[in-house]
Amino acid sequence: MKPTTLRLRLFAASFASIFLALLIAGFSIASLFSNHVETNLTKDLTSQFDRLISLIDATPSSLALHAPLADPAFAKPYGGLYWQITDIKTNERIRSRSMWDAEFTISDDKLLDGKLNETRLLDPEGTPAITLVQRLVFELNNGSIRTLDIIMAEDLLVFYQANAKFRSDLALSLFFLALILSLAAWVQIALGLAPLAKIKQEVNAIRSGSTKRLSKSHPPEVMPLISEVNELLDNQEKSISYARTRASNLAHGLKTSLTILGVQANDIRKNNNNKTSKTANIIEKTTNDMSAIIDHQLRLSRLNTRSRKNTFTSSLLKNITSITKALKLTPNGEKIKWHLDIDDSLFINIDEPDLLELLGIIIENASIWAKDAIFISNEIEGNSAVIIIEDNGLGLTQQQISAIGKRGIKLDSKGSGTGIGLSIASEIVEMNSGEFQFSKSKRGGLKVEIKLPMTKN
Amino acid sequence: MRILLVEDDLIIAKNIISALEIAGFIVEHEQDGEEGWFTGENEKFDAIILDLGLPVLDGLTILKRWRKANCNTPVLILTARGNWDERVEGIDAGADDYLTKPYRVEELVARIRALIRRSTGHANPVIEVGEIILDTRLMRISKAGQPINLTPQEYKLTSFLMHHKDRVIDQMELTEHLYTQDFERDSNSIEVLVGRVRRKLGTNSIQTKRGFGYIMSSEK
Repeated sequence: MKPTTLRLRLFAASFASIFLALLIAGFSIASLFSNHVETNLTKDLTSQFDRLISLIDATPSSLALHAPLADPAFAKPYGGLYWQITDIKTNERIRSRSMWDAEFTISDDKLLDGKLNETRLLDPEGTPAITLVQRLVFELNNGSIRTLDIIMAEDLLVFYQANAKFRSDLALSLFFLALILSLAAWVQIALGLAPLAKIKQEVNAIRSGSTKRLSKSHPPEVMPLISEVNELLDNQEKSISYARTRASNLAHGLKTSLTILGVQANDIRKNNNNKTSKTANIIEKTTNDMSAIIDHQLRLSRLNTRSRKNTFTSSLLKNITSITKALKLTPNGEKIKWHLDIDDSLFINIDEPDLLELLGIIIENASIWAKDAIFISNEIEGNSAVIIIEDNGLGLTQQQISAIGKRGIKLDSKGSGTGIGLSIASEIVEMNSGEFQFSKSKRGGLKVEIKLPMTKN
Repeated sequence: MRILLVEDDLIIAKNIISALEIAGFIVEHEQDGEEGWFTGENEKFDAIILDLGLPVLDGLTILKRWRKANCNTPVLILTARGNWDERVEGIDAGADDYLTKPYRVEELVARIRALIRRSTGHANPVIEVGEIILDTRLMRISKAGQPINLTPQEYKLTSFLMHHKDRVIDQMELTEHLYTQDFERDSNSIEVLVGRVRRKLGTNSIQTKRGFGYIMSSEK
């Protein structure tokens, strides 16, 4: 399962919480409103009911009210407020004008206890109505009694309409509240995650090589993470440096020992005995081979195994000048006329020691085989620089040219090299997504074209 | 020609000393960095062979100290570390050449000869003074096209004067560059040696500047 982003997770959790809280709040508020309105309704109706009871004028021969109830809804047909009084013995019944010709019928179980009971009935229009019922016994002046069932009802249509309106208003309000809260949650999450975004930027800067460590300007909550990452980077750098130093020291030690063996072989050869000379040659060849292997591995261990996201800014002219300066001091290099035509604003996206190693190998090779001149120039091809190194030596056959770069293949069988230099150069070019091209130069010798990525401005 | 060799490994040092002595050089050897630095800074040499991995003081530090103290003797670095960045670092620190181990001793000798020749301002391996020609690669001296048979000491004297042609060299300097330190300085060996060379190369081949020293010059 693909992991979701932290931002999305936090927002989903916030949104769910907001939705749930508002849903519960909505239901609670609607319920409270409904209960409150219904309670008030019942309270008002109870007052009207009490008023009705107080207005009852019951005599042995008649049943009436002293005065009509004040609320005009009782007088208006289907006005929404209704009352009905029934003598259970004589079945004499009086009712409000609003009842028109309808009657309420109620079961005895709501009346037998003589208490005021609340129930729901359908009003004359068939709408549910809140209804108060009570059976009361009136003692008349002549000592007789009349038992009356008193019913008062109020149409709930208005209540339902008010309730529905309230709920729809409430839902709309809660919807906008949810929107505002969600937006606030998004802003809060963005602010909360801002330090992580900054860390991401700094990590990218480390990858690109523009900085080496994360900065210290972060909130205290993330500083332990920053310290750990920086410590990890320190340890990694130390480990690589330590490993390289150890490899270098090991190679140095071994090569010194091999030099001693070579010296001994030379001494044996001086004895001028055929058999011992042969042994000396074998020792010398073996020590040379071993030295070449050590050299190859050591140089490989020093190549920068960088991430593709790293960016390097190595000056082409500076590195080529360093190499030619060193080579001019050698017996091969001092006789050569160096023709450099390099753009001084050209930077190559390769770690500088690797660029130096690559160009050093190729240019030194050219200095060995050049007659008396080497030409180094550059061209631009899209985002790449093509470095062209030509000599005016004898050049190579097509077969020799196609074998160049393979490990152990030398440019010439009489050469003192081992072919490992070119193999290293090929690995550097490959590691940096570059290209090698060998051909015969019009100047007579070998033409080497190295295509390498340029550093973008 | 006097060479300082700073190398801690005795077998390698012995081999180099032997090869250089056969090639006509006087070699002083120091085993550790501290001694090498002191000797290189306080005595005159025509070239120095410096190993980088030395006990007490590493080669690169010594080289930087020499250059800081205006000691401009040409230095050939001898090291097992053959990477180009280390090579450039060595050259930038003031080295004049760089040879990686394992090396062929013949190449080392050739490099030293080239180094001394370059340091005395000669771009060509063949140095000419009038009819006398010195081929530094072959260690051969000829006059008017005829090879001259010289003893090692005679060759050293002629070679040194030809490398510094047109410059008056006093006896003290000649002694320092032609003999080991334990040589008896008051003896008249230089005069005797000059006389022998004159007999082989011609009376005017080496001129005496009274009170100053000797000179080989094309101008008579």
